[in-house]
Amino acid sequence: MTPEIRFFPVGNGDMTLIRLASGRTILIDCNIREPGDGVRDVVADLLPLLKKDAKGCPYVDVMVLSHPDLDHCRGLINYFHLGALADYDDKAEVKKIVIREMWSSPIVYRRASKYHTLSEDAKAWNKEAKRRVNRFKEKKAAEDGDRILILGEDIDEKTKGADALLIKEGATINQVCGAIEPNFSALLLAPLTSSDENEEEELTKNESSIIINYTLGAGSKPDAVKFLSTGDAEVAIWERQWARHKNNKKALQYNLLQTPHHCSWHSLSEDSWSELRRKAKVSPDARQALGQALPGAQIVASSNPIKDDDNDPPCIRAKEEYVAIAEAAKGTFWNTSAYLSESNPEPLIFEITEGGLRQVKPRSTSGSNAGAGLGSTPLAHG
Amino acid sequence: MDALPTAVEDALRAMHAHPAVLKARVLSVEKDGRVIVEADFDTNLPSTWRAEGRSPSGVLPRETVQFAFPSSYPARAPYPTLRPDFNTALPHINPHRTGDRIPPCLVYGTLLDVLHADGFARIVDQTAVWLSSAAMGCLIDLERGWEPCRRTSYGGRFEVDVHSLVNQRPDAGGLALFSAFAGWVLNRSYVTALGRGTKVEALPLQAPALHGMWKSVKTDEDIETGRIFVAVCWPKGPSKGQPVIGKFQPDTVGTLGELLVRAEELHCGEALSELLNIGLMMKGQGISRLPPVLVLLPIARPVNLLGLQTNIEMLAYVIDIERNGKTTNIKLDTPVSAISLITPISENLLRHTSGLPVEGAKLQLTLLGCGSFGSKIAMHATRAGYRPDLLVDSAYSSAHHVARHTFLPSDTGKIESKVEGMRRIIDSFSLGRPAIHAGDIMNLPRTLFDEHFKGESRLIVNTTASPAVRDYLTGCKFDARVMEVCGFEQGKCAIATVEGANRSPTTSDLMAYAYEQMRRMQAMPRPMQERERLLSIGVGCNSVTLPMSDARVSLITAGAGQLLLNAMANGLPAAGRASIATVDTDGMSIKWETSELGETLVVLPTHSAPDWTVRLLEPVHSEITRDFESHPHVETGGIIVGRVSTTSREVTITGLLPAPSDSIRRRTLFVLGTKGREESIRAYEESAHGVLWCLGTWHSHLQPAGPSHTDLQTADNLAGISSSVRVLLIRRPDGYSAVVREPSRTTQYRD
Repeated sequence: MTPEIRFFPVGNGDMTLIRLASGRTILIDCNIREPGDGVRDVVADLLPLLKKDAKGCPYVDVMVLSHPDLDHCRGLINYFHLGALADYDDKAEVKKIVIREMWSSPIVYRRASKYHTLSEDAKAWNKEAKRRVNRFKEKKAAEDGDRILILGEDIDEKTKGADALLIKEGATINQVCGAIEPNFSALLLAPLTSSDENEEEELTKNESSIIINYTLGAGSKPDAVKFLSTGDAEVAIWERQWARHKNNKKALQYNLLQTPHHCSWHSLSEDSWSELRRKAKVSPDARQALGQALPGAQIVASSNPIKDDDNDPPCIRAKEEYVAIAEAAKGTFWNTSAYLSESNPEPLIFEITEGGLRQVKPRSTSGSNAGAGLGSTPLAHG
Repeated sequence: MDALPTAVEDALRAMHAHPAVLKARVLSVEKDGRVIVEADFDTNLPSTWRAEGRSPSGVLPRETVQFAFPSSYPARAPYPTLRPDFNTALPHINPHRTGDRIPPCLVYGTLLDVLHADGFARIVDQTAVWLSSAAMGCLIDLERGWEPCRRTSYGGRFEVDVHSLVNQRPDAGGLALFSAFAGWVLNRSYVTALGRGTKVEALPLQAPALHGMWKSVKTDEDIETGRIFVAVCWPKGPSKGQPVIGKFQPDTVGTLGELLVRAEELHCGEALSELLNIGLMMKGQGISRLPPVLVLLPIARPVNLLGLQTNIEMLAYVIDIERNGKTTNIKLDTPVSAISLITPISENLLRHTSGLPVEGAKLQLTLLGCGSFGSKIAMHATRAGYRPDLLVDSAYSSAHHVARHTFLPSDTGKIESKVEGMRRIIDSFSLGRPAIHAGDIMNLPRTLFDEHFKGESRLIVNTTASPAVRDYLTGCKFDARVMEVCGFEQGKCAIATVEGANRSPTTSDLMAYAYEQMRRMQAMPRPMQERERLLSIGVGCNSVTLPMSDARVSLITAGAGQLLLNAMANGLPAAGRASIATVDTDGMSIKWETSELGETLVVLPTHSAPDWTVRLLEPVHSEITRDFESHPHVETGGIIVGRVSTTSREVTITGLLPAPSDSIRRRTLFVLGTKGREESIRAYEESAHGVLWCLGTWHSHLQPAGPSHTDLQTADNLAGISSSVRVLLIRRPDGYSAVVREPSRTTQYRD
C-alpha cells in the first residue's frame, strides 16, 4: 500500500490520518462536527479508510491527541469506543472506532486543565488513558484496545510503575501498536519539561502540545518525507525548540508542516495581531524553528478560510510567513478549508513517495466532467 | 489562420477543461490539413523532485505534449508526441526514428477506439496519467514482469517459441542459425504472416543446406513463401555471464547500420557480423539470391518477460540483404524492419488466453461421441488447452456434419471416421494427438480402457445421448467419473450431469434425477415425439438426425463447455450434480439450474425376485428421513416414484408423493389412505410423460426390523397402484429394507 497523509477539512481544528505502507493507521486528533451546511461528514470519509477487526469493528492502530482542546477531540465519545474491548457494542447501528493504541500526554493534560475547563470529550480521553495505564500496571502487558504510550515525562510521579509506556522528549518511537514498523519513526519534540515554576507557567500558557516529527519512508528512501505535526504549540514553545535544536536542525526539518494552532499568529509572535496588525513582530527564533523547510516542502494550515481580517487563528499575517517559507523551498502552502472548493472542501491527500509528497488529485469522472466530454462506454468484445 | 475544424475545437475545449492541463494552444495548421496543438501538462511531481526541477526519470514538472490532429479527425486518431529529448529509457514508448519527437504508448488497444468510446477527454486524461506514471517510474510494475519493447501493430510478425530458442543457446554464445517457413511481401522490406505450426529447425552451416534455402521459395504475385534464415545473435560467452540489461530502450533501428550499432550496444555485435560474413560467403559461392534473414538479438532482463517463463527478450528484425541490388557488399543503409514475435500455440497460450490457470489439467479427458455436442465440447476443451486424450465414436464423417459439427466442408467427403477427423483437427493445435477408437464403446480395446478409465483423475464425457452407453458406463467397473451432456426437444432443453465421488450418484442416477427436475419444471420431453422430428439426410443410408441449428447446439455446449473447463482446471467436487438447461421461447435465452446430490443409497431387496437393486437418490432419502424423524412414535409413509431398468434390473427412486390425508399412522401400523390417491398418481404420471411413474409405497418401522408378514401381503397387493415392477420400501431406524415384485411373479418369492 502506498503510504499517505490525509488532512480532513474540519475548520479551525485538526484531524489528520497517516496510513503507513503496512496499512497501519495513525489518527492525529479529531474534530468531528455535525455534518451539513458547509460542514463535511468526515466520519463518512474516515470509516472506509479504516481496517476492521475479526468482529467487524473498525479501528485505528494509533490515535494521538496533541492536546485536549475541543477542536482536537470533538466527537471522541460519539464515534470512538472508550473502555475495555469486552464492552464493545457490536450491535450498535453505527459501529464505533476502536483505538488500539493511544498516544497521550498527562503533562499536556495537566497544563491544559489549569486555565481551561476540559470538555466531556477531553475528560473521556483522559479517563480512558488512565484506565489503560492502570490496566498495564496491573497486567504488565497490553493487548490491542488497551495499549497506550505516555508521551512526555511529568514532573510528579504519575507515570511511576508504567515506565515501559513512557516516551521521553527527544526519544524516537519505532513501533506502532506493539510492532516494529518499517519505514517509520516518530521523534517526540514536545511536551517539554520545565526547569522552574516560571517556565512551567510559560509553557502552560503557550498551549503545550505533543509535537512529533514523523519520518516516513518510501521505496528505497527511508526518510522520503518528514512530517512535523505541531498541535497548538505557541511561540514560547517554538522559541525553546529552536534553542534546543538550532545546532542540529534535522530535528525540526520537514517536507510537510501542519502549521501550529490553525495558522495562528501566536505561534510566531508574542504580539497581538488584532491590536498591532502589521506592526506586530515575528519572533526570529520561532520563525527559525518553523522555517526548516526541506526542498519542495508543503505547508498545511488546518483552519477556517484565511482572510485579511483581525481574526487569529487563522491569521493572514501568519499565512504570509508560511507562504514565504514554502516559496523559498519551492513548495506550496495549503488551507484545508479552501482545498478545491471553499463551500465544500475535499480532504487534502498526499502520497508518500521517494520523490517526496505527491498530491492525490481527484480523478475526472463522467459525472463531474460531463461538460468536457469525459463520458464512458462499456467495453464490448467480439 | 483558417477556422479550426469543429472536432478540433472540441478537443481543445476538452484539454482546457482537464485539471492537469495548464495551457493549450494551436501551434500550426499544416498544408495537408493537419492541426498541431500543444498542451502543457502538470506532471504532478512529488514535492522534492518538483523542487529539484525534474524526476529521476527525467520528467519535468511541466511537459509539453504535441497532438497532431489529422485532417480526417475524428475518423482518424490524433498522434501525441513528447519533446525529442524526452527520456526514452522508459517502457511504453512507441518505436520511432532517432531525433523524432517521442511517441508515448498511451493506451492498450488503439487511440481511435478510446477516442470513439470515451471521447478526446479520455485521451487527455490518459496522457496526464502516462506522464505522471513516467515521472514516478511506474509505467510498468516489474513485479508483474518485463514489458517487452514496443512494436507497431502493422509491422511484420513471426511465430516462434522463444523458450525453445533460449533452450538452444550455444554454450559459448555467438550465432545460432535456424531455418523456418515464412511468407513475405515483395517490394517491401518486412516479413509477414509466418509459419504457423512450422517448427524452427536448426540449420547446418553446410553449402547444400544453404543452397537449398532459396530453391524452396515460391512466388505468387507479390507474395513469396519459403524457408528463411533465423539468426539468433547471442552475446559471446556462457549464458551465466550474459550481461543483464535493465534499461528500457525504444526501437529506433531502421537500417542495417543502425542494427549493427544496436547489436554492439547489446553485446550481440560479434554474432551479427558472423551472420553477415556467411551472407558474403554465400555470395562468393555463386548463390545469386538470399531469402530474407530474421535477426534476433537476445537480451537478458532483470526479471522474466510479461507472460513468459524467461528473462530473455528477443528483439526481432528482418533484413533483406538482396533487395536493393546484387552487389557483393552488404550496404549499411539496407532497410531493416522491427517485427513482433508471436507465441505459437501451446497449452499455456490457450489457457492463458482463455483466462484459465496455466497449471496442468486436474483431469485426463475421454470423449465418447464426436457429434454435434461432442465435437463442440472437444473444441471448447482443446481451445482452452485441455486436449482430449481419447476420442470414441463409431460413425463416419458425412456431408451433413458440416451443419453442426466442428467439421468444415474440407473435413468431409473423405473415407474417414469422425474420430479420425476430430483427431486431425485437434492435432493441428500442436498439443499432441489424442488416441482414438472408431467403434462402439462396448468394444473398446482393453489397453485403451485400462489407460483411460482407470484412476480417479480421469473424466469420461459422454455426449452420445445413448441409453445403452449410459447403462454400460453405469454397470462397468472403473474409477473415472462420467459427465454426460445431452439435449432434448431439438435443443429446447438439455441436461448436464457429473457423477459424485466414487461414482455415486452414477450417471444413470443423475439422469433419473434430472428427469424428475425437468418434470417439476414442466420441461419434461415427450419421448415419442423425438422420432417424429427426425430428418432423413440421405437415400437408403439409414442415416437420420434432428433438425436443429448450429447456433442452438452452441447455446447448450457453451454451458456444458464451461462445466468441463471448470472441472479440468479445478477438479471435481465430491457431490454429484445435475444441471438442467431450458431455452426461452425467444430462442436465445438459456437458463441452467443446478442441483447437487450426495451419495445414492443402494438397498438390496429381500423376499423378492432375484438380482434386483433399489437405488434411493439422496434427496429422496433426505425427504423420507425428515418425515420419519417428525413421526418418532408412529409409523409414517407415502408413495414412491421413479424409474425401472429391466435390462439392469434396477429400480431408481427419484421422488415421493405425500400420503393421502386419510392415511392412518399408528405405533405398529401405517395404512396408506385412498383419498385423492389415484388422482395424485395420475397427475404425477401425466406430468412425467411416462418417463417416471409410481413405483409403490414406503413406510417406516420404529424398530430395526425388515418386512413383516403384513408388509409382504401389501407388496403383493401393490398392483392396485402400479402395473409394473412394484416396490415396497421400509425406512428402519438403522437403514432401509425393500421388497420388489414383478408383474408375473407377484406371489412366487416368499421366504
